[in-house]
Amino acid sequence: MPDRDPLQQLASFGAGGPVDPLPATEVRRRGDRRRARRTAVTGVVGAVAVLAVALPAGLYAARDGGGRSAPPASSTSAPTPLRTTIPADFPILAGIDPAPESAAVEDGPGNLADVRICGRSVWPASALDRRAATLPGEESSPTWSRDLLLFPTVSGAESAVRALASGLDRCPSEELVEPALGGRTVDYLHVRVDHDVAGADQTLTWTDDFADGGHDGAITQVVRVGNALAATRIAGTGTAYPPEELPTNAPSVDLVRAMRIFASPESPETAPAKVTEIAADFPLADGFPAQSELGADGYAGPNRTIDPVAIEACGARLPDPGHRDRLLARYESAEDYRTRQLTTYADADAAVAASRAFVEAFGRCPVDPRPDDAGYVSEREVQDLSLGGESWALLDRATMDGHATPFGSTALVVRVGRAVLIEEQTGHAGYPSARGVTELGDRLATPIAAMCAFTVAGCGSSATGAADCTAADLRPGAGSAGAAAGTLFVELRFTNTSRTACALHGASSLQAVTADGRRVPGEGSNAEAFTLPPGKYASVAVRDSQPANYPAGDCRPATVAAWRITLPGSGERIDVPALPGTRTCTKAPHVSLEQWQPVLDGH
Amino acid sequence: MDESEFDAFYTASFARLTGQLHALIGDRDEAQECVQEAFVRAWQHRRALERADHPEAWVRTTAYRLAVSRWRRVKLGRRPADRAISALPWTEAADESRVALIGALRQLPEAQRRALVLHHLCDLPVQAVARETGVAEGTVKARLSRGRAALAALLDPDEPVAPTSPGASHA
Repeated sequence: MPDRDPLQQLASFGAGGPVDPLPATEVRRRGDRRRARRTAVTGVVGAVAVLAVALPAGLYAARDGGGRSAPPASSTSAPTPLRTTIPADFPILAGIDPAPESAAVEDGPGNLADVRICGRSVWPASALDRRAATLPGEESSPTWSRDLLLFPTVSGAESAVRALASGLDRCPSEELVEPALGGRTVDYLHVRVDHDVAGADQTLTWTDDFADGGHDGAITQVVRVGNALAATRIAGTGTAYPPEELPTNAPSVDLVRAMRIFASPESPETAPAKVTEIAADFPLADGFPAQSELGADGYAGPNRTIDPVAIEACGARLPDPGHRDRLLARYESAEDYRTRQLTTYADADAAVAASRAFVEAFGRCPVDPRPDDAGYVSEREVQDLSLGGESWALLDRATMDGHATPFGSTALVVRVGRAVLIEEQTGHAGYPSARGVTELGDRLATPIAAMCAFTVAGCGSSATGAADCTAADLRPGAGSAGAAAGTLFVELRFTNTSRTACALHGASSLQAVTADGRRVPGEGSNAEAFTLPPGKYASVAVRDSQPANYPAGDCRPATVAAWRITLPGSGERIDVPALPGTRTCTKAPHVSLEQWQPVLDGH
Repeated sequence: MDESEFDAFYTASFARLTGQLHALIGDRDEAQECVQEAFVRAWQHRRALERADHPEAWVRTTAYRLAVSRWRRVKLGRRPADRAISALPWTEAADESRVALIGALRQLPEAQRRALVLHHLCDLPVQAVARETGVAEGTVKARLSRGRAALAALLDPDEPVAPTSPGASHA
C-alpha cells in the first residue's frame, strides 16, 4: 500500500532534490552573447556569387535523377591512377572553421552509418577507405559531422550518389513512432535542395525535419570528387534556409578543394581560392572604445571569421552581392555591440552598386508592415553623411503599439573607392541619436583614411591626403564654348558640392555619347594631382574638330547628348550634358580632353 | 525586464522549474540542463518574455521542448551530444517513494504525464494546462482522469482503482 496518494506526492514533489544553477550574471552573459551574434550565413551568399563567376558555363546540368552532375571538363593533365587510401593528413574538417580541440576523429563506421531514410541506410556499407570526424554541438549550436569514403571506381562512387538520391526521392516523408512519447507518431520529412558545390562532380543536399517543428532537424550535403564521397552533416538546426545560404555550402567548397587529390579527368575545375587583399595590419579596430565591461572578451578581430553584418528590413536581409575580400572586427560592452565590416569589390562601380543597393533597400522600408514575433515595429531613416567618398547613416528605432521604446540600432555605411565600410551598433547604446551618429563617424576616421588603399591612385599620392573626388561629390556643368580655325572647345566644370575637400589626380578618359546612344571614343588626359576644396570647381576642356570640316561620308556626324568623363582618381563616371546643337564625327573621331586644372579664385 | 528583475525571477523559479521538468521527463540531470538553457534563452529573448502573461510557463515550455528535441536526437540514432542521456538517480540518499513516483510517471503516455504534472505539480488550472499543451479543456480533463487511474495502478497494482473525481483544489 503506498504511503500517500500519488497525486499528493506529485503535488509535494517540489524541486525533487538539490539544484546547482549557474550564477545569474553568467546566464545573462551567455544570453547577451547569443543576442549579439548573427547566424553565419550571409557571408556565404557573397562567396557563392563570386565563385559563380569562375564556373565554366553549362555546369548546371539538368537533373537526371541521381544527383546533379557536372559535364566533363577538358583534361589538362595526364590521367593519374585512382587513390585507394585517404592520406593521413587529409583535412577531414576542411571548411568547418574554427575547429575546436574537442573534435573527435575516428576511423570507425562513421557518423552517417546511423542515418536511415525510410528504414534504409543512406551511407554505403563497404568502402576502400573511410574517415570520419564529429564536432559535438553546444546547447544552442548544432553538431557537425564529416564522413569521407573512397570507392574502387569512379562509377561506383557515382552510382552510390544516385542510389542515395533515388532513396530520397522515394521517401519524401515517413512516420516515426515515438514510444516514450506515448506511442505518438510524427511525420519526418526529407527534402532535397538544389545546390551545386563548385568543383564537385556531383552534389546531393537534403534536409531532415520533423513536421511539427521544434529545435532539431538536419542538413546533409554529399559531394563527390572522382572516386571519393564526402558528406557534411549538421544536426540540430531546425531552420529553413534558401539553397544559396545553406551553412554547409562554404565548408563544402573548402572540402572539395582538399578532395582534388581524388579527382578524375572528368572532374570539373575548382573555383579559385578567395581573395585576401585587405592588408593584415589594416586598422579596422582603431577608434573602438578603449574599455569594455567585458574586459578582453569585449574585443574580437580583425579577422575573417566574425559573423558578417546582417541587417533586415521589411522581413528581408539587405542585399550583399559578391565581393572580393571582407574583414571584420567587433566590440562588445554592456548593451553596446558594434560590428565593423570592411568589404572590397572588383572595382568602384561594383562598390557603388553594392553600397547603394544596401542603403536603398533599407530606405525602401521606412516602417515594417508587420510586428516581429516580439511585437516590435521598426521605423527606419536614412541620412546622408559626408564621410569618405559616399556615406550614409541607417537608423532603426523599434516601436511598440506606436510608442517609442529604448531599442534600436545605428549603422554607418562609408564607401571609398572600391571598398565599403559598415559599422553597426546595437544594444541600448545603438539607439539612434544625432550625437551617436557623429561619434560613430568620428571613431571611424582612421579606418576610413586607410581605405585609400582601395582607390585607383592608392594612398599617399594625393597632396593633402584628401579622398578622391567621386561622382557624388561633383556637380558637372558646361562653361564657355568657343570655336577657332575649325576646332571646337567646350569647357567642362566640376564643382565640389560635398562638405570636404577631395582630390583629383591621374588618368581620365573621355567619350562622346550621341543622341542615339552611341559612344564615340576620345583621347583622355592626365591630371597632375590637386585638391579641390568645397565649393570650388575643376575645369577641363574638350577639344573637337568641327564636323563641317570633313566630307559627311568620312565623318558621319551625329548630335552629342553628353560628354562622358571618368574622373581622375576615383575613376568614376560623370556624364556632362552637351550644349544643344553640338555635333561630332562618329567615324574617325577627333575628340580629346585637355588639361585639368582647379579654379580656386573667383566663381 | 531589467537585470535585477530577471535575476529575481531566475533565482526564485530555477529549483521549482527543474523539479517540474524532472517530473515531466523523468531524468533529473537532463531536466536541470534544459532548464538552465531555457533561462539563457529567456534572457536572450527577454522582450518576448516581458510580454508573456506567464514567464514561468514560457521557460518551462522552452525547457520541455528542448528536452524532447534532445531525446529525439538520441532515439533516431544521430550522434548524441557530449553526455549520454540516461536516467541517473539522485546523488544523495534517494527517497524511495519519489523514485517510484518518477518511475511510474515515465511509464505513462506523455500526454497524460504532462497533464498530471502541469496540473498537480505546477498548480496550473485546467484552462492553463489546455493553453500550454495546445488542446481543448475537455481533452485535458480526460487525460487527467485517465492519468490518475493509470498512475495509481502503476504504483499499487493490488489496490482497486477508486472512481476518479475532478481535481479537488482547482477550478
